[in-house]
Amino acid sequence: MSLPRKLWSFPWSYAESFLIGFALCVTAIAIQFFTRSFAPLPSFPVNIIVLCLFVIVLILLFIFGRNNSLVQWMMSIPATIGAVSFFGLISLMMGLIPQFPQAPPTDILHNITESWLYFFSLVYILTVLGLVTLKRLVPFKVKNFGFQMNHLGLWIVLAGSSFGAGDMQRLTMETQLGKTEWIAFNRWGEPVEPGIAVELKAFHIDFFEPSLQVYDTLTNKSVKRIKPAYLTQSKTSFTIGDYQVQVKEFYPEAMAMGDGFKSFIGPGSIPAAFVVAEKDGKKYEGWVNPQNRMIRGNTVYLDEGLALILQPSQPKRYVSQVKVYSSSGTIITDSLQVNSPLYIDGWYLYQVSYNQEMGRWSETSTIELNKDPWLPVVYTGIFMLIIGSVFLFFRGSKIKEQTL
Amino acid sequence: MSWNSFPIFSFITLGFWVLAIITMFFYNRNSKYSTLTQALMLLGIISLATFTSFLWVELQRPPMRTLGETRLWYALFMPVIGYIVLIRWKYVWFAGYCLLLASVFVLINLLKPEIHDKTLMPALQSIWFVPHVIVYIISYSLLGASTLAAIVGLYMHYRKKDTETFIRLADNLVYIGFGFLTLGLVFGALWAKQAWGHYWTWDPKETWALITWLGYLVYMHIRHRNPHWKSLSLWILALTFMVLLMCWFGMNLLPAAQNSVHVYAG
Ligand code: HEM
Repeated sequence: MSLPRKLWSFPWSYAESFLIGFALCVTAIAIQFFTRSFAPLPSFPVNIIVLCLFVIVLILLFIFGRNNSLVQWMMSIPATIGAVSFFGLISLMMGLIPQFPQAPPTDILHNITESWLYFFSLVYILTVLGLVTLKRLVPFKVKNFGFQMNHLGLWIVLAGSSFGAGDMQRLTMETQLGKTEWIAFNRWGEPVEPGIAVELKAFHIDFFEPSLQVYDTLTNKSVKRIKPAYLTQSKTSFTIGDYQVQVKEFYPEAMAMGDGFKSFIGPGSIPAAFVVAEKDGKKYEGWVNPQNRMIRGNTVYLDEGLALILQPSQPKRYVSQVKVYSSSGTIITDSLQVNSPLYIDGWYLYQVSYNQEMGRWSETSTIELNKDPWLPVVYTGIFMLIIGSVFLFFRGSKIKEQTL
Repeated sequence: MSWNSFPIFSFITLGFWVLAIITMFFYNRNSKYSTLTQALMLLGIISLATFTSFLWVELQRPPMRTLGETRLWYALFMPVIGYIVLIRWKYVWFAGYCLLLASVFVLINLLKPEIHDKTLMPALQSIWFVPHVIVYIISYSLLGASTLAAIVGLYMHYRKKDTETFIRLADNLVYIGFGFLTLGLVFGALWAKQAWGHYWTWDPKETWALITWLGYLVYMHIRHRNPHWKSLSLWILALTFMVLLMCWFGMNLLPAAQNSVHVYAG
């Protein structure tokens, strides 16, 4: 640049991009406060219509405005940096301030994803990214393939997830053992009939073994240096820290009985073990068990403010055996567990939770029903981004050859 | 074989790496020291890799859950990147820094051990777990390496020396690192869909991962448009790495993150 350029005289650059971002920011906040409303979240069919109009506007801008300085700015890196920084700043606020989906419109900072601020930043980034993509798409060149995978892919992900948000349904259903449930609740706690009924035929939990840990009674924490010992029926002697520990009796499920514990398999049971710890010839012995509502916890006190505790078993996996009926007549009998959802008629079913109090005797299982018709769109974009990232690996080495 | 044997393996590893760093001072492309340096680097890497694989078997789950475990992977991948860069571009100083950084991570794990229990909550039991974490650690190692290049570049800049070599190295590392970062983010989204029902929930860990990603995006585009703005670009790189560290370690401290599903145990 030879002469200093005056602000707002074309071609625009970084300063204008940030100022426009700032102006959008102020406008968004003003709209939100004056109308006391959230940004629009259109659902079918309005969202599809608006998306089509948006794409048409971008194409028209590109075709007729290619020589217009404003449109040229919109396809430039300075506009990119402005838009990405705006979006990044908003993400930063979400990363620093706890978010509450229930917060009202006047409390912008606690509910950013529904705010006009977020809406404007999306429009800014989608406009710039859309035009950038068009610029490299026409005329079509094969060597732009990697570029398109990244840029068009990201545009599709952003557009698909934001325009599709209004069509997404996430419902929670509480199922009872042996019963068929057809009512679910949305995030405001209102009952909804999703057209799906779920019969809970069985519920089952596997646990990890309970673990013996050394606990510091002064800091009220497990001692991190010392590796816990997992209790099983077959292994009875362990080295835990400086202590040699013998397990004399061990019940994965037990009930308090007199001074000790007896094996008992049923609701309210807890793991319990009788242990003898030894260090330098000194012995420390007694029952260890975690507490629950009915049973007091026991620990064995050692030297130096330390104690042996028995950590309750952590669930390894929980499985609901379900029979699912859809209104179209499809019936599926299958098992449902975390990380392996069930699919039926546009709905995904997820295992979420159970009655923690009852543990493996839980007679309820909480299931999430999730419908997202735009998922294939978003996945297409994600797939393109994956291919695009492979291109980035090669790009790195390409530069290397040219320059080093 | 468990964390109890970590001190032995880490002393062996550190021994090899310290020797490798010493030989680097005599390094000359054609001298016998170059072979020696490379051999020592590799021996250290093999020792740590052996420990990591045994730990995996013994824990009966991928050792990628706690911060200490991710540090272990970082300590493993950093020297691998240093080694590749050494062979490909002959940057001895760079390999040295990588070894130094990896050694620091090994030392932290020696001095601040954690409970390494084998429980893995159901949400983590997924085919996405290993690819997601491995890709992220590779990416973090590459981006950490690019930060080293940036810091040396900035130092050169303020000493009024040429920064071209360093910024080019940084570019190469960022492109590849950003590719892996994108994969990590995307694998995370696919996993989240499978485990929690939605691919993006603005959970604080996700949000910080996105901010990190945007930081490198800004770097790449500014490099593309204004290649002569070297010091600014290097500063962006250094600052973005701060965000990355925030995402990796700082989460446990943030008020916004108290309910995060991603906050590491330990
Ligand atoms: C996955 C995310 C992205 C990646 C990996 C990426 C990567 C790149 C790369 C490598 C280039 C250089 C192209 C070349 O020289 O062949 C580039 C250029 C560019 N990118 Fe991106 N980018 C991404 C997202 C974005 C976004 C979100 C925007 C805008 C909002 C954007 C706008 C631009 C622009 C304007 C150019 C210059 C194009 C030109 O000069 O023709 N990019 N991008």
